[in-house]
Amino acid sequence: MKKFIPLIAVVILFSTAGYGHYANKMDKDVVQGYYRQMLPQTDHFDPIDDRTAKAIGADGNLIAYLGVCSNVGYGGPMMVGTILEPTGAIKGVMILQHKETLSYINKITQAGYFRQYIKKRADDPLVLNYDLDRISGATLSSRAIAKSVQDVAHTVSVKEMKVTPKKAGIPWNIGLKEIAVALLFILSVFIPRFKQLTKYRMVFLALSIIILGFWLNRSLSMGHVSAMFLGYFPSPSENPIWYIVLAGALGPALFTGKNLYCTYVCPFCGLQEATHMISKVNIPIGKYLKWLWLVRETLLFLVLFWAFLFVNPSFSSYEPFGTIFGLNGSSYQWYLLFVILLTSFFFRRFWCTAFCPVGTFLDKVAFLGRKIRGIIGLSSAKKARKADVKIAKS
Amino acid sequence: MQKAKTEAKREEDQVRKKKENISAIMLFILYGLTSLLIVLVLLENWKAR
Repeated sequence: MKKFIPLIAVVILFSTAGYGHYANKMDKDVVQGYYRQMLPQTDHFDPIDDRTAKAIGADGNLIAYLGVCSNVGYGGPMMVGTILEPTGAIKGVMILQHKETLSYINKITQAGYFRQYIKKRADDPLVLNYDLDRISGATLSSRAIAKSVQDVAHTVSVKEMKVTPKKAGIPWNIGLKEIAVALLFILSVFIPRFKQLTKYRMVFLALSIIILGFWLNRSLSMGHVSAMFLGYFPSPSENPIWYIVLAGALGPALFTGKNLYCTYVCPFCGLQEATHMISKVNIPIGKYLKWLWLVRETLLFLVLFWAFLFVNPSFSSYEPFGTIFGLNGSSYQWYLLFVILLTSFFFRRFWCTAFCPVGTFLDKVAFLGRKIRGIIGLSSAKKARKADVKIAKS
Repeated sequence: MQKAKTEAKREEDQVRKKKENISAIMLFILYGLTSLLIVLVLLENWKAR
């Protein structure tokens, strides 16, 4: 019975994802509800397409064009409403509903991000870093909103104004940041192969704390994993780091059967190791370890279950990565971070051992990788079993 | 001589047990505190839904 538990868990998760998608489907009434929320004084709405419409007043005159569109920010999708004047000028932009990390929404709202849209027209390119300014520290959320506004405005421009929108012509965004992140992941695959290099693991982790942590704040989180399963993929040309991080963590785990991300790349793991090195205290967890692992696996299941049920990748995310590296979080998140770092003074990598759902997920992927290697004959079943035992012991 | 050895071993065992108990209590408190804070963060996420 015990060996069927993972299979049952996977079946439950996929059924939940199916149900979540069905239950959260946007229908006509929901769209009409959004329109009414945006322009309550309108008599009726004449649809242009399934998410864009003309707002008609009681006298039969056109009041405005309006539309809704959803795009994924950092943690989840945001439903953005856009209102345009009959002349084609943007009149207002608002977030109608969101599943984004709350602190990014607050940042955008407080910085007055929406004001810059008022000067724009329906046929403008409406592209971030081209004719729109991003909010520093909330780039992904700013970009998601810009894409939603662009979608509605360009639909109105083409279908109602009969004007082709201007193009921004943004090339693939590969720069120093993308190269640095890719190098980190490539090196993490090669370092374990050379014994002389493994002693520099802490130096490598320090590099990761700087690059993936404080500089970019793009460490792998459950938001990434849930978004991947829910099909929320950002644009690869605009957000290549998202793909580099996901592929860099999952690829080696699947192909080598080892969770290299947690050992060599995770910046939060590096921080915990650093605090542990300062204290030099290492209290063994001993006989409680298997219970902590059991809870950790249950936590992974619950995090995915909630994310799938509410079709929201960030909803069940509780990791403090964004708090420390983005210096952005609620009071509870700061308390949590403080307690974790304090605990890692006494228990080595306490968060990784007891709570981290990302590490648990990567361990599972690595396990799957070892099984596949065993099945297709890249390594014998005996060797794969030996590797399992060795990893469990370490 | 034998008695002294047994006594020393007993004392050693007592110290080890005491250390283990302190570790378990510390683990229990810190684990509980972290779990509580995670629940509060999740509740906050739920409210902002």
